[in-house]
Amino acid sequence: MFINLFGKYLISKKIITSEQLRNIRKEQSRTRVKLGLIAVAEKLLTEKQAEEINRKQALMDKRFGDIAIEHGFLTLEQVSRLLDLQGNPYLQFGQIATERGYMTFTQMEDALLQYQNEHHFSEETMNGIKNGDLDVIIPAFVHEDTIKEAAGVAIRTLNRLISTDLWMGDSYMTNRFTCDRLACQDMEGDLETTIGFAGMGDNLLAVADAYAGESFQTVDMDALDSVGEVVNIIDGLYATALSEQGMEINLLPPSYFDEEIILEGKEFGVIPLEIKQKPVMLVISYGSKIHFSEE
Amino acid sequence: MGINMIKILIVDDSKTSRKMLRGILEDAGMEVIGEAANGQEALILYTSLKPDVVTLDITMPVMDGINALKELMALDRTARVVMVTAAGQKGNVVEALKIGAKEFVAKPYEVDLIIDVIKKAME
Repeated sequence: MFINLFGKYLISKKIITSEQLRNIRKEQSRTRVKLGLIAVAEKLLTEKQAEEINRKQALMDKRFGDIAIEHGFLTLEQVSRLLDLQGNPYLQFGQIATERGYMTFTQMEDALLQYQNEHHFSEETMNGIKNGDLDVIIPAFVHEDTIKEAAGVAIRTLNRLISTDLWMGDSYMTNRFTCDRLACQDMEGDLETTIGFAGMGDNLLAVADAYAGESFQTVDMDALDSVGEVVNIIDGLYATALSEQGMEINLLPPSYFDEEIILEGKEFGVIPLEIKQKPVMLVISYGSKIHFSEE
Repeated sequence: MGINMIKILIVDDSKTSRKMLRGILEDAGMEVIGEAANGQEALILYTSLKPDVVTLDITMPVMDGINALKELMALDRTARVVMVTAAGQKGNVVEALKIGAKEFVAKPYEVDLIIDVIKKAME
């Protein structure tokens, strides 16, 4: 998720273009970050020292880490730590963006600091975001305690079952929301809730197609049924978590709407998401069900 | 009985879920002889199709899985039923096993697990 969070921020500040972000996304999965870049990012080496080791490496058939240890730049433990970071999303982003000439590493660090300050994120939160740690990212963007747990289950399930190409924005509470496609499910018992995915046009196909493993032509009842199954899985996991807190919860059959629909009720949460760059809203109520009416 | 002789009736209100399960079972060589979208349809099809195993979703409209299971067991004490649940319906699973379900399996489907569960239900 780091690539989408930071990438969209850089686009909004006109530091990179949408096409450049698409290129970074494409390359990210097959990029192993160079140890020199990681060592500089972790402040274990200066850029000059990393360049010196790279020059030596060009003259010998040895690995960067081995040369760094032999010449006293790094210890074995430090090299081990660097190797662990080779899959780190922030560092992957940095390597691809700098190698392609989209920005320098310093420009990236400056933009990251600006991003941190604008969001008032702590160092700990920023480290979690840079590592792509959903357990840190989700509570950083979901501000309401009542919906945090359900949101966490939903987003982790999306990441596991649907796509890792996710973005999330800041959650907000409302008592009225409209959309033209919705798949949702009520739960009742010791707690009443409604959880669902809302979208406009064909955006929910990002979820429907991925779960069912087929290509729906449009978000019709069959496609909504597929989205509803994802909601059902999320609700099942959430109900498990609630039952471990001593609550008895029953899941009701999912509901689907393929025309313009108004969601109303006591305040419920809306979490803006992008799933494979398609905007989708995660709606969550806690303590009461959401009511639906057609326009 | 060999795996490719096992006849299955799939009961689930979700068309996606029925399709996914049919794909898994047929790839494993089993024969899906019918599908029902709720408990009421399941009872009618059970009588006419006489499946070896019924996979029965719990959360369904019209007649849910628990009530359908009670009716099935009243119809045929030897019916082999595998309950299908979203995780977190542990209470329902315990009740279903007491009523007479043989096994249960949670969504999302894990291919190897569901095949094992069907085989166990046949034992």
